[in-house]
Amino acid sequence: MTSKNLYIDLNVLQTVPSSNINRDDTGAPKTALYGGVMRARVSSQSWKHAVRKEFKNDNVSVGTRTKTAPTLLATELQKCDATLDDAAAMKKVTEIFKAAGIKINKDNETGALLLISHGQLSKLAQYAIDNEELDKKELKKVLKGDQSLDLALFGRMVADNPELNVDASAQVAHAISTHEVVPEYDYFTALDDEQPKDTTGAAMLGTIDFNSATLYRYANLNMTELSHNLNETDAIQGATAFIKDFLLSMPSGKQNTFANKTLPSYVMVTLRTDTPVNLVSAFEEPVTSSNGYVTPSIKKLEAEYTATRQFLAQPLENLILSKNESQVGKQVTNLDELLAQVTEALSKAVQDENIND
Amino acid sequence: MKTLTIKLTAPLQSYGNEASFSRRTTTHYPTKSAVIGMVAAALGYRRSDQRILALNDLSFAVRIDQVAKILTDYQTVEWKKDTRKITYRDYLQDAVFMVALGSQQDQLIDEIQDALRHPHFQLFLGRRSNAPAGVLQLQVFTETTPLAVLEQIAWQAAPWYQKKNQVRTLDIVADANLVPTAQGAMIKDQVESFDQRNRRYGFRAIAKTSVSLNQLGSQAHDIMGFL
Repeated sequence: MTSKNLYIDLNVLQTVPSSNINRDDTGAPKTALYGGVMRARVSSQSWKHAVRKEFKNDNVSVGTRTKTAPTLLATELQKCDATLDDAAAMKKVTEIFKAAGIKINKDNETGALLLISHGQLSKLAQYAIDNEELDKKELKKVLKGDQSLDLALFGRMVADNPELNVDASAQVAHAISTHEVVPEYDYFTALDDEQPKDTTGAAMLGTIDFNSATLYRYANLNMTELSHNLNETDAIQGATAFIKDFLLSMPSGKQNTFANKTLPSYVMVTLRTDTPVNLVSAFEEPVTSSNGYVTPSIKKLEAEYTATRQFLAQPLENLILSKNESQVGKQVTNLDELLAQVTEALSKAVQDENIND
Repeated sequence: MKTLTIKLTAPLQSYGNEASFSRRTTTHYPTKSAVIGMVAAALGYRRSDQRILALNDLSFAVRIDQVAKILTDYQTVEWKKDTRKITYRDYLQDAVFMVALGSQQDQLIDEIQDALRHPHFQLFLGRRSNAPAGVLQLQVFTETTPLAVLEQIAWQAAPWYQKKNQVRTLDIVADANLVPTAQGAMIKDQVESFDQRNRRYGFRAIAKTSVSLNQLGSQAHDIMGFL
């Protein structure tokens, strides 16, 4: 193996009361079959959208904030095409910045600080070499956008300019309930307040579909790839930002109708050097209970974690955030401690790898 | 020939065939190009890596152990500000497939097995959100072909499925040259390029066959052998 892998697995159990946070084209909550029974489902794209919105609220951004983007881009251009000398590379850079409508002064610096990541610069260089005609709008987005973390985590698809695409370093599974769900619907009538006294009956009738579920949510992060896109320091900062907002966000569908915003009941964060593992297999046989789903779901999840241990390398770290006592990992008391421990473990892992090189 | 089996199972899988943006359909079993993509990801080949093409030479067969139910997911995409497109994406739900890859180069099969245990990029079953359920179950067989292996190893469907369904045979879809007796068909499933600038597939020949359950090894006998 030339370079070591470093993955973060996020396993979350979250109970959501009557709600309809992600609906299909008929307005009903999304579902899926697993283990032969119907499960509540929240699509990955829906939850990623919620995380992205949370990034905006938190003003999360990572990348290099610099005036020297032109010089950095020139270096990237020369990496792509070794025949370019310094003057030719800088000429090309000037064209790119001109097309994007960003002024460069005589020292080859931009007037304002640009927030840009290494991955974006190398994409941009490749794009400029492959294309005579430059798409102004796309260039502007790359150079003036502040979404480097967003792009590095979730990828980006620009159908018109595929060279500017970024492959995602995060993988987010559709969340499914650990148990069988039965779709429910709420029949409602609404009165017209201004209705004449001698008129009876409702002004409006309807139904709202909903269900309630204890969801198993899974996501992982390829730290090697995230560092490749950003850099090591930004990747660690980006990873903790992602963990935090993945745990705290929820799609907003019908939030005002159901006020269903909960927090996770159980969080397991595993740092692995071999492969990410989605423990959804724990729930292939659905949880059955007449006394709540959270505790039996935690038991099943931890049993599955233990069962998979024999096929996998020893994880670097396994952190648990839950009020239930854990049998399989190091328990932390709150989210801040969780993020601090993840940062510490990641910094150590990155350092160890550098020494190995 | 050395053969590697991979058990593909997850709540959701999807193996796109020719489709438009608004309606993304799936075949009802894993395509060879999807499995090649997964192997390439494990080996750390990026999209434009030419080494991907050599993986087309692997011998390929897949057995449908637990038949999927189709799910159509409704999704809206905000492709530019305040402009939304609607897309329907099909998924296979609750399915189990046994894929077998074979090669005369024994070392290549060992490399692929090692890479799938230590994947360079995340593995997924046709779409990024479809992470495999649990640890990927792999097994290597020597001196046999993918088809011969699939005609021998135990049925991998979940116990509830085995109990509920009156199944006598399992369908197998393989490279046409592995099933010389069967009528072949051409499908657009030969990887030419995964590069997003120019994603291309050519045609490859497949043939379908099936295996009777009472011909297979018993579940109790070798289920642990897989792990």
